Amino acid sequence: MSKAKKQALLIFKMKLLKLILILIIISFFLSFLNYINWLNAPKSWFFTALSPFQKSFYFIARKVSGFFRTIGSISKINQENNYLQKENQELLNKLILQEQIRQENQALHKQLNLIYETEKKHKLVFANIISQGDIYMIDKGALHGLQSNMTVIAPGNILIGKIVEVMNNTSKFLPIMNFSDNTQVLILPSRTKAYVRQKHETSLVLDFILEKEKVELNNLIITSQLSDFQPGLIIGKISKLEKTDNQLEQKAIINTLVNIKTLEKVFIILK
Amino acid sequence: MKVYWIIILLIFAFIIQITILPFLGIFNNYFNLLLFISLISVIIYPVKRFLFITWFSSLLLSLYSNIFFGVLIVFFILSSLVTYILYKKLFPQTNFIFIILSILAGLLSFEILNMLLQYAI
Repeated sequence: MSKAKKQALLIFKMKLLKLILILIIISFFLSFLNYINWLNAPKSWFFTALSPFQKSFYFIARKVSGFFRTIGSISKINQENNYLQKENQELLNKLILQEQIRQENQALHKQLNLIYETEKKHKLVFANIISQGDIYMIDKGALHGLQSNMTVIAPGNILIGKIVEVMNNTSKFLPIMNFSDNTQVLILPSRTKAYVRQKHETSLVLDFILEKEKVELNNLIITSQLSDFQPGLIIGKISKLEKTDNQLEQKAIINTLVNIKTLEKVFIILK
Repeated sequence: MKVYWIIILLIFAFIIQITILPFLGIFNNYFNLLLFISLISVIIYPVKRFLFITWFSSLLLSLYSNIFFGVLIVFFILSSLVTYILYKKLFPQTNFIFIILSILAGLLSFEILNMLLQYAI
């Protein structure tokens, strides 16, 4: 290689290195601005400007995906329908029994002159999901009273995730499937305590259930008092039980009650 | 292509990335359109332009992602450099297979970096 060619190559390499360094320095500067929350306003403007497009694209994608999913799962729907009909009948029987117990309970309360406390309701904010990925975006933000770490639920008190970033008109939430830390939960009806963690970002697993604990398939999983969320929120049902290698504990795979990918609307519990 | 057209195209790709592509994923893994565009730009454009495209597309994803701001930018630039070194230095002939191989190497290096990050967290 001639000397001139070598020099040209060297100059090119230097230029390339300089350019990469400049871009990395700009990125670190932006990262610093983000760290001290100075990027919040530009981010907020950017996502507010994008949100109409996001909403329309998300709506179309969800509809198309829903259509194909329905076609692909007609036989499964039939099976599910049969199962749900059976479950519905069982629940109806339980409901009748519970109504009798409630009436008896009310009568006893009256007799004992106790004030019957109605269930304390959470204050909720309704939001639409406008995009998804590892995290999800909703069309409500700080202007609607949202803050970081607030709980996101689906209709029926089903835990969906928690808010991780709030902008003026939009917010991001981390779905329960992507939580990195363990959450303490209760298994109903035995009220056994366990820890829920994600497995390969596709399913949830319950760990540290002692072998002697009475846990069965289809047991309901709810958040406990010691979790980061309001107690009593439904996480899912046990779909599979496995014994660990040491035979002292068992672990359970949880089936969530809603498919977050097809979810359109969520509620955020205001603290 | 003018810079503003590139910016509009990247913003459009970003909207598709966060709205439509998650529905096409398998086991929570879906196609990273912005990374793909960045790697294609390595083949098509000169250094200055492809670095800008890589930087801007990763900046857009960083705004949306939950990963610490800036990490994705570094990962994108590194992946583009892998493609650049492979395509321009190791396979200098313009051959379709070499183009595909270089892009695949870029995609793979991004996935490896991402995996390492997940383990680190």
